[in-house]
Amino acid sequence: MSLKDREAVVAQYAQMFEDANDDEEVIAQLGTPVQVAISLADSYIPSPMDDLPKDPGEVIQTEEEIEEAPQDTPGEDAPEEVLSIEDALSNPVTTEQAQNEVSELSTQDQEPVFKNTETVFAFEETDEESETLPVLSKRQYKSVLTTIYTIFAIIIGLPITIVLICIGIPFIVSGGAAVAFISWLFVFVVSGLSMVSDILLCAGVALAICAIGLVIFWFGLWLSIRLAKAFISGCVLRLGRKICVKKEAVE
Amino acid sequence: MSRTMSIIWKVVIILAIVLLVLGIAASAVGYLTGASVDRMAEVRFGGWDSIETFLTMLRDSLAQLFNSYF
Repeated sequence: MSLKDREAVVAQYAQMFEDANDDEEVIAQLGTPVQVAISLADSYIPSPMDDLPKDPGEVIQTEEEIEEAPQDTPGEDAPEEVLSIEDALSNPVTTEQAQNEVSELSTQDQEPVFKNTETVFAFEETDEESETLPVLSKRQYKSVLTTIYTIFAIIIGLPITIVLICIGIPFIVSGGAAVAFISWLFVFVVSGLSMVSDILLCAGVALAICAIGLVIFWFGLWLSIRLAKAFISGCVLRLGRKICVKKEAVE
Repeated sequence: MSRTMSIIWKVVIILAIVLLVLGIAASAVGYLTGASVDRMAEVRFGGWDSIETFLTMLRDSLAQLFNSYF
């Protein structure tokens, strides 16, 4: 509410109190300050700056009255149906209506805020999307360096790989030998035995040693494969990529 | 590759446990039913003396093989 409108409203209320004989009756008619404020806010339409009302009673007009008023007939007198303070006082706002209107006003005030935040988030998302766009890169192999590196990788890397494989060979040999020897011993001993208890004892020991030999054999095989793979992929290929590959960004 | 390795590890461990349990069970049953290592050695190798002779010959052969190469 502009300053002039506020002054007009205050003057109108002052005029009401001057015209009335008893101030208490006017106060009782007006109701609570909240009710008066809501009724004013509900019916308030800002007056144009160049067409300020001369009479304070003409300040408050409803939207419907403005729409219904003929705007293309400046010479004619427009119907001066205004929502004056007397009209507002004749239809006092109850407490429930005031609360409903307060809640409506609060919801109306919140909606644009939510819209604004959504818009901001949308812009932020688009900014993030634009920032997280994948940067395409093109790999180019340096042919001379690749050739030299391949030769040196074979010359140096192959013996190291063989050595790493050989670390697991003792386990493979010992495990395999244990399984093979126990199997032969079992067949050799059991073939000449006649007592079932002796055969059971011999077979039991052979099975237990075979189980241990099997685990040792597989451990040796796994160790050899693991070491060789770790050396080749972790050292040889990674170093080769660093040295021989050149990445270029593609727009 | 690593997944295959882990699967083989599981199979090997399970197989080893099964073999170990079976072997211990068979040995316990054989021992409890009166099995004798001396009798097995005597029946199959002709006694402990024969086994000791066999082991001595094996050791000498390995030592000779080792000395000839290194």
